[in-house]
Amino acid sequence: MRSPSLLFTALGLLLVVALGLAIACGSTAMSLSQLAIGLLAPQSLDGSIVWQLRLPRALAALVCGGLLAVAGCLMQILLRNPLADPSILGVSGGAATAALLAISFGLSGTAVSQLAFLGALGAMSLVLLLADVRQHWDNTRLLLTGVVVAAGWGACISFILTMSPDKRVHSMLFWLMGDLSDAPVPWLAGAGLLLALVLATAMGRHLNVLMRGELQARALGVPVTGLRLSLYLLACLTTALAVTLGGTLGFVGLVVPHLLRLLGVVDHRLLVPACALLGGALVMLADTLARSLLAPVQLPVGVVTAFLGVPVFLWILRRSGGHP
Amino acid sequence: MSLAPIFEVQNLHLQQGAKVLCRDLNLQVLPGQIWVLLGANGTGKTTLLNSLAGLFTPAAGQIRFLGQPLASWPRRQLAQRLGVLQQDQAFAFPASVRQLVLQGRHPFQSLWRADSAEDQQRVAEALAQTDLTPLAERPVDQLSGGERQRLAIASLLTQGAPNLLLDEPSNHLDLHYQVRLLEQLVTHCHRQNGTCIASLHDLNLAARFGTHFLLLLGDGEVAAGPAEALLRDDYLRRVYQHPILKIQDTQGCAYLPE
Repeated sequence: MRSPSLLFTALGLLLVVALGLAIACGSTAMSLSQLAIGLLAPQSLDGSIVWQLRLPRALAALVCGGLLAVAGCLMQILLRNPLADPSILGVSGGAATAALLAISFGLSGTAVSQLAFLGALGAMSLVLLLADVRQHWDNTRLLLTGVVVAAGWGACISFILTMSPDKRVHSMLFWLMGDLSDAPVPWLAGAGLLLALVLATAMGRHLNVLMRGELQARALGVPVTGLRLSLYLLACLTTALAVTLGGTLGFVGLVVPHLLRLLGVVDHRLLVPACALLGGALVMLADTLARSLLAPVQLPVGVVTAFLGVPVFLWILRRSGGHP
Repeated sequence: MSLAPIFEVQNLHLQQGAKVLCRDLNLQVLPGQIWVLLGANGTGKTTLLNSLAGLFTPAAGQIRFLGQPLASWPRRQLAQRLGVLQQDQAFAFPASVRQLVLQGRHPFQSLWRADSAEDQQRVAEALAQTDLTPLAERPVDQLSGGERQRLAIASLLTQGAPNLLLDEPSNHLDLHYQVRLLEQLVTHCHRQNGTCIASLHDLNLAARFGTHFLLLLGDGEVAAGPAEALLRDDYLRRVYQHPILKIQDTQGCAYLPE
């Protein structure tokens, strides 16, 4: 990347545009003047739509997308596998199983989110335990363990879906495809995202050297074992926070890091923060479309992220000659 | 000139699976010495170098580096004093030549500070020494094998550690680079009162630079000592499983397979 400042200006602008659209668009059409009044007077009707409905949801989308893109980027580095995404090691599978169980017992709102977070933590510990990385860190073993455990969660999810009454299946499916409709202002997850960004950017130099292979990285003074464990924990925790906030929203975590790499961002000190900005903007845009495209019908945001992301990604891939 | 040993190896035993690569090796490497490792494929040259770099755990025995047990060195401190050139490095990071050479400074950089002017200066020098200056902005995946090897050497020179472990440094290099770059690496070690331990395939290159030799004779047997004691017909025949002819002339001497 020739000019980091240009990149971050562009990403910042995209984010502002996405935020503006998220506040302005929705099932209640608003003129610019109504929007201005709403922004200035939170007590008015338009004000409450903006401040109590749209802004919290936009922020939730922003944080959720940012977390997922960062998590995906970290998973790809950790596993040295371009196909890695936040769900690959079964963290979101564990969260989904717990969330679906909660929904099938009639819970909703924060209770579902809290159980989803516990499920994610449980899944994360389970994989770490089963892969037995204490003696010797073996990436292939970790990847296979994670993928198999994730497949197990997939089976659990299918089982719960089949056994549930129809009226609950709809909300379960929404949760599975990404749902930001009940999301509160994401204070905790937002703080988590900022912390993860600081830590991952601080590790950036180590991560750059780690790409030269384990032995060379150690020869250049990188504490590889500690670095990998930190990466694993950070990737899993960001995934857990994202899934808790917006359900298992696919695609963002896989594609956003690649998109930026294709644009020439390779230094991890830039890549990680850029992932957060682009991921956040993409999910915010997708969520705005999801709730206004066929309003009053709301689409799952995960469907829209893929609809938006697939053509953009393929176009950039072609333009770059397929060399990330 | 201090003569405290740089490496002290005691009763070193290396094993990979059931295969014994090195049995009861004792060794003292002093400043200024250039050690060359010779051995047939699969006799354990890389493993021996990796164990001296602290990247492979020996089955038994002790390695001390600058008076301290090797395993007790923090990696970053070690990397400031010991540079390692590995064979066929994977440059999966799709960066430019300059960025990768700059990574040689990693052991000296803090995670938050930007690259210093000194770092940039060292990179420029190393690029010039390896004739990579015109390729500095080229992405690494567009380099040839020889250019990649020069990149790895430039990264090592940028690191600037006084002691070097080199695994097949002449791989992929053209003849004049083989001689010139090895000369530069050896000068680098001499200037900083360090040492260099290198595995080489080319016997003539080895004889040109090595003051001391480590011959891996197979089945874990290792002969170590000064050049004049080890560059003998009987040893060389055992190393290569082939008779070697030594041709002496007023210009120097050359080794040829018979």
